Formats: sequence, structure tokens, C-alpha cells
Amino acid sequence: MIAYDPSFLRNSSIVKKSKQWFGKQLISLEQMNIILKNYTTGFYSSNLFIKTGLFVFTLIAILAVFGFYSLLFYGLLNMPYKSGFSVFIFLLFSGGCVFLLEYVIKNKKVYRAGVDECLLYMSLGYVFNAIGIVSSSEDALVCCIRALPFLIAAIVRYADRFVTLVLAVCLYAIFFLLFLKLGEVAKIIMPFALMTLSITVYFWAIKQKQKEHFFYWKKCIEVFECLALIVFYLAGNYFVIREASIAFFNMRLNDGENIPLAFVFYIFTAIIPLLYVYFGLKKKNKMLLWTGLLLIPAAVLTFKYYYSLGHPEITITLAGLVLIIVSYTCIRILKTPKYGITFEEEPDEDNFLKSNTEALVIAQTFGRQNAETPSETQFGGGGFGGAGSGGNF
Amino acid sequence: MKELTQLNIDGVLSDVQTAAINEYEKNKLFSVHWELRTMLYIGILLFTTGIGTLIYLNIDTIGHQAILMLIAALCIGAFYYGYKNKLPYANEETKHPSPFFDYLVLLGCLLFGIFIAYLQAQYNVFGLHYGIAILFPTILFFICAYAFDHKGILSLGITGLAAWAGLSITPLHLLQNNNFSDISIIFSYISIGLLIGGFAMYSDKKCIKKHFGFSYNNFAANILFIATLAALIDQPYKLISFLFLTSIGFYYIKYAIARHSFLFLLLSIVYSYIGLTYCVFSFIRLPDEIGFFCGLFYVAASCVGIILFFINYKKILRIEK
Repeated sequence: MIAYDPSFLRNSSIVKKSKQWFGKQLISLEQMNIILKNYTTGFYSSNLFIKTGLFVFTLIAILAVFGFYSLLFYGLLNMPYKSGFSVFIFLLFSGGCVFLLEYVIKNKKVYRAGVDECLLYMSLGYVFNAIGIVSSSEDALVCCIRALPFLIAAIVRYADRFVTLVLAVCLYAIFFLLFLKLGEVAKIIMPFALMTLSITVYFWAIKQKQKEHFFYWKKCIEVFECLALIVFYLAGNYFVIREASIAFFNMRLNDGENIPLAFVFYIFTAIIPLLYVYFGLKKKNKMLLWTGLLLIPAAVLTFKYYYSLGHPEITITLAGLVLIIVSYTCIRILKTPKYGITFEEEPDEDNFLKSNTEALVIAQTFGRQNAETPSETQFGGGGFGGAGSGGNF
Repeated sequence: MKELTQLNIDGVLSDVQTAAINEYEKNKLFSVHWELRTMLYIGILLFTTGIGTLIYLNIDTIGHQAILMLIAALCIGAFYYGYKNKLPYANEETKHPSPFFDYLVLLGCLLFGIFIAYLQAQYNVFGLHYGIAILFPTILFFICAYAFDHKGILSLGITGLAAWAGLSITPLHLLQNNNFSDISIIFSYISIGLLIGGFAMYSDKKCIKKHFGFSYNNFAANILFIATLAALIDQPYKLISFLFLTSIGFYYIKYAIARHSFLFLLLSIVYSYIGLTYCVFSFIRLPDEIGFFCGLFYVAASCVGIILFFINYKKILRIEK
């Protein structure tokens, strides 16, 4: 199902964990060497800079080829844009991108290297264009439903997090738009319906994440988890509800008037981020913690929006002061771990590389050569003969 | 812990070790290092912004001298703290144990810069000699960067140096006429770039603060490439500019390979590509529509070429690693 080599994916997660354990000296140098040698990942996947570069260059290349065609058909032959022919061209380009994507994954072993992501997004983008032309006279709901199968297929095959985010947003949109059709009832239940849905999604995600057969899609499920947290908060946020009531339910509010149940939503607005932070710390869950921390400013801004004192500079100064004091005291307190929480840095791969002995370099070079050999034989008659000629490992 | 079970089944880890690691994973401490650091940083940012706005809004009641005194006092305080707690100088990288040290030293330097700028803006102490006004903080930044081993302050210093060069090498009337495409500005930036790049090479050879090399070269590479591209596009000396661009490109590609630095590889490829594309489009002239098609074809083909280069560069450049 998954396009990337499954054994490589498993190995890379094993190596990542082992590096952490090695950093904590739970496994010996020899064992680390064995792990690096046996659990190789033959992927080509580069660091952020090259990834960005590859993404941009792939994008330009695809657009240039597309420009070539659109100039020919729309510019010289005067084809109308909104026609079956356009749909055909878009689907053709989408298929071409998928074909290239499969090719680079199979033969070049790229993995999250900028090229594959760009090809995937472009291919989906072309499909969405085609859908847009086909359903131009219909509403957003139909567009979302038509996009669903493509998104799901893309996630099943490529397990991309950004596409998952699009899918999750798309699903929420479908839910929202379907619920709107209920009419008057929807107006009152909508926040609670969205909250209930988010809770369900969140606990579903938590449960499914642990399952063995979802191993490759763990990161994708985490996207759902995170989005559920955010939507749960937004559905109960006073500002969002007030503005949405005006935008979607034609509610007319004069100055000083309030939405129904305003008191409840004020409490939700204030307390949910704090609860996220609390449970994040208690359950040692980074995602909960970060979401909570990022939502606190949203809560503060919501209150400031309706009850402003008219002195933003004082607010900023005070907020800064509070942050400094809180973080300073926390750093001081957590220098010695309390309740299993510490200020000490976690051992990650960077730490591993820093504290690493030279001995591992040998193992790593050896491992990588092993992994590259099979890919080399598959190059065949590619257009870059000079590349493979030097390789006789 | 599927990874752990897998390693245990494959016989890499013994049962005892597996149990120990399991125990460790269960009781692992939860690190909030980056959360707290980020909070502290945002707090400082908000606080200083807020104070700055407050002072700006109430300048009539506070008075300039009082503010200058306050800035000076804070600045001296920060430097005093830095001086008291500083580690002895070493040519290697030193890491201060306190998480606040870096922030406070940086604060001191920034306040000094603000102090000089304030003096100049309000009392015009340096008159029209803007160069001197910039030179003072720049020198201090460099001293502090080496004394406290602080890369952020070093970047401030390098930026100051470039600003100083731009201001003092260029005659003032050029700036007033907004004539930035003049050759003397380009020339001054190229010299600064060469100076900084050369100094980075020298200190690397002599092993003086090797880790500063990245900041120096990052700046030198950007300023050299941009100045040369400006010369190539704006000035009539096409051939010399192009040759110069090629040689910097080669130098930084070599540097990138020696350092395993992807950033420099990307920088040199992208800048050289821009130069090459400019040359291709400006020297090869074809009739309109054919030219447009050929242009698109060139863009597509060259992009694919660069992608293949990035994926295969280790083999193309014969790096065995």
C-alpha cells in the first residue's frame, strides 16, 4: 500500500530510537555500530535547505512544462479554459506527476526530499483544478466530496502530513456544511456538535496511533489528533462563535447584545488552553502542551477584543513581564526535575552527533554503501551516465 | 515499543538490556527545555517592545536625558554581568552553563547600539559622519563576539561592518541622489565580501574560533553573489562579472563539500543559476514566439538538471561518503 520501502521506514525508526538510547548510554558502541550497519535506510532524504531548493526547482520545472502546453493550447489554438479539454489536460498532468512520483520513489529512493512532496501536491492541485471546472456551478459541499477519494488515495499511498491536514479540513468542512442544512436547529447545536466530533476524532486518533497496522500512518493520525484539539477549542471560542453566527446564520447583533449562552463560551475560551497545558504536562504529551501554549494568546486576544482598555502598549509590557517571570521561575524550579518534568534538554539526534565518537563514522559509511548498491544497478540507461560510472563499491 | 521488541528478537539487544531500556522509557523525564526558552524569548521581545512603545508615547514627560541615562545604566549593568561571569577566552567554542548569559550579553550590545543611535538622532553628536557613528558599536560588537563567544553578536558586528563600508566608501552625494546602481557601491561590497571571506579562511587555518566561519562565510557568500549579480546585470563589464561569479560559485561549492554544508551548496547553485539564466536569456536572442518556447524549455530542462544534481551530487562530485 505504501509507496516507500516499508523495511526502510521501519529501520529508520529503529535507528532513531537507538540513537536516543545510545545518547543516554543504554546501549554500547558496538551495539550501535551493529544497528547502524544492519538497519540501513537507503533513502535519499536531505536536510531542510536542499529540500526547499529541490521543492522550488521541481515546482518551476513542472510549471514550465505546463506553461509550454497551456501556451500552445490556450494561446495559439485558442481553446476555451472551461471545457472538457481543460479537464483532460489537468488530469493528464496530474497523472504525469503521479507517474514521475512513483518513478523517483522507486528508482531514486527519494523520501520526503522535496521532489516527491512537490510532485504529490502538484498532482493533487491539478486534480482539484479539474474538479473545480467540472463542478463550477455547484456548491462547496460537492467539491469537498469529490476531492475526498483523491485525498484518501494519496494518504494511503504516500502518508503525507500536509495532505492529511487538507483531508481533515475537508472532512470538517463536509460535516459543517451538511449540518448547516438542518437549518434553525444547527444554529444552536453547531458548537457542541463540532466539539463532540472533535472529542470523538481525538480519542479515535489516540487509540489508532498505537495500532501496529497503522505504523506508517502514525504521523498522519497525529495530524488528526492535533487538528481535533484546535477545532475543539475554536468551536467553543467566543469570538469564533460570534463571528460565525453573523456570517453563517444571519444573526444580527447590535452593540452590547450578546450571543446565547455567552457565559458558557467565555468559560470555554479561557479554560480550555489551560486544561490543555495542564494535561499536557500531566500526561507528558508534547502535542497537548504546545497546542495549549499556542492557544493561550488566542484566548487573551479574544478577551482583549471585546474588553480592551485601549492601551495595547501596557498589555504588551505586562504580558512580556508575566512571560519572563513565569518562564524564569519555571527554569529555576525545574533545574532539578519535579513530577517527572525537567528543564534539561532531551537527547535527540543532534545531541547524539555532538557527543558521538569518530568510531561511528566508519560504521555509517559502511552502512550507506551497502544501501546504495542496489539502487545503482537499477539506473540502467538513464540520461546521466556520468553519475554512476565512478561507483564500484 | 515495537522498535525495542524488534531489536530484541533480532538478537542485537539482550533481555536484560531490553528490560532496562523499557524501564527508562517508562520513567523518562519530560523535557520542557525549548518551551520555556521560547517563552522566555517571547517574553523579552514583548516586554522590550512594550517598554519602547511606552517611552515613545510618553517622551514629553520623561525627557531624552532620562531615557539615555536609563539605557546607559541597563547597558552597563548587562556588560558588568557579562564581564563578571565570562568564561576565560579560548580559541575553541565555549558554552556558558547559564541559560541567561547569552541573552544578557546580547541585550547589552543591542542597548549600546540603541544608545549611539539615540545620541545621533537626538543630538546629532557625530554630525554628518555617519560612518563613525556606526564604527563605534561595530568595534564593540566584534570585541564582545570574541570575548563572550557569541554568534549573534558577531552577526551584528558583520552587518555593522558592511553598513560602515557602504556609508564611508560611497561619497555621500550618491546616497542623497538615491543612485544605488553605481559601480563604486558594488565595488565596495565586493571588497567587504572578499575581506570577510578571506578573514574566515585565515581564522580557519589558524584555528581561531572556527565555529564563527559559518557566520562569516554566510554573509560573505551572500554579499559577494548579490554584488556580482548586480554588476553582471547592471554594469557593462559582463565578461569579468560572469567569470568572477563562476569563480565564487566554484569556491563556495568546494567550501560546501568540505564542510558538508547543504546551505552553501544551495546558495552557490541558486545564485550561479540566476547568473547563468540571465546570460542565456540576454545573449541568445530568438524571435518572440520561438524564443518564448525555447525559454520555457530551457527553464524546465535546467531545473530537472539541478534536481538530478542535488540527488546525485555525491556521485557527480566523487565524494565517497
